[in-house]
Amino acid sequence: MLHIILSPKLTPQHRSVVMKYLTRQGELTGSEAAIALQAFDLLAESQVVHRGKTRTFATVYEQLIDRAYADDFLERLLSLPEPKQTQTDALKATIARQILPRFKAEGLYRPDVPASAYLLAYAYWWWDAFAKGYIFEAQVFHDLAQSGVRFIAHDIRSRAERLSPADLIVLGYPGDIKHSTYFLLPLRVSSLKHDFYIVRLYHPIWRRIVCAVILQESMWHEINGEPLLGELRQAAELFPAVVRVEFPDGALIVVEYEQWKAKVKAHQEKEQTND
Amino acid sequence: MTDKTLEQLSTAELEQVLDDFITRKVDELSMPTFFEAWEILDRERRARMPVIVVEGDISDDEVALSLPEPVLAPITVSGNELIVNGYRIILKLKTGV
Repeated sequence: MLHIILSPKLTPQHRSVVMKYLTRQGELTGSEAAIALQAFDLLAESQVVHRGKTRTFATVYEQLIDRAYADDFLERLLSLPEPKQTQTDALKATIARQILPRFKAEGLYRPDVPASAYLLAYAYWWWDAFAKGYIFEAQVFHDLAQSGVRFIAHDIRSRAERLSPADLIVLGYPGDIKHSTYFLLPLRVSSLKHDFYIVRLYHPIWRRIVCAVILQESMWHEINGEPLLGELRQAAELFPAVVRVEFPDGALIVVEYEQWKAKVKAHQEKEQTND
Repeated sequence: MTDKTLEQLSTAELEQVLDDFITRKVDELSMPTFFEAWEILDRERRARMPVIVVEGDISDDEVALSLPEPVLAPITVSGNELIVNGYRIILKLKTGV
């Protein structure tokens, strides 16, 4: 028997936005993106009743996908001499394609239980977020090392270190490396905790993926530079200009990744000369 | 197919949607969407934050703070001091500015 208990808070609007997220992510509005994050949170707490056990979607993902594939994926990712996008994307897809057969074999996806499609979608969404996040981390670590920027990184091979509060430390400041959705996910419940975030985004005018760094003013002052004053919504149109955005609990700076990296490197070189 | 919701898809359609999703070329939110969503999430989070009203009575250039309603949070007031999270926040009035 398979019984799916979707969260009663999951509205028809959530369901339709989940479909749009999966099929036309580039066309989501800001408000739809916020609703999508809420929808995936509600799916995480939705339940599966199967073979006498009741588990949340999040637990099923953890038991069937994370434990089975995460370590192996990261090992293979880190063994690549250079984490090039085409290779890493292929690695992510190879494992993703095992999810549906696995869920079918376990009796966790059944066409005669239509709501089980949500369990499958949740597993794909988390796998995509997980894999994409670590691919981006590996790419940033590789790039910083190649560029001669000094940093301390957590070891993503180790489960315990993956849960460390910060992904890396630069100039003594703790920071995180996030793709766009993963950056937004915790903002539903808390404010930003780190001094800087390296974020992967899509630039619709340049029609390509770009990297931005969002940092606290204190770190920006240390590496120098005069930002433009702007509002959060303007940051996209002003990019790659450096923008300072005011929040009730302090200001943040949005800067293009290569500019940030060049400033950090110059600062580190100056520090070394002074030593 | 995109007008449907997930539970309305056939197995073949669902399989196609998931495979297209995992291999999509644009796999990030666009910048305007990202910043707009950030602003919405930040606004919504602040709106959910509990509000504590502190009142101040001023006499002879001194302020006496009080909590008009009992609060569950670990906050105490005493004279012109507000004690929150191990911090003593002292309110000083400035005149003639």
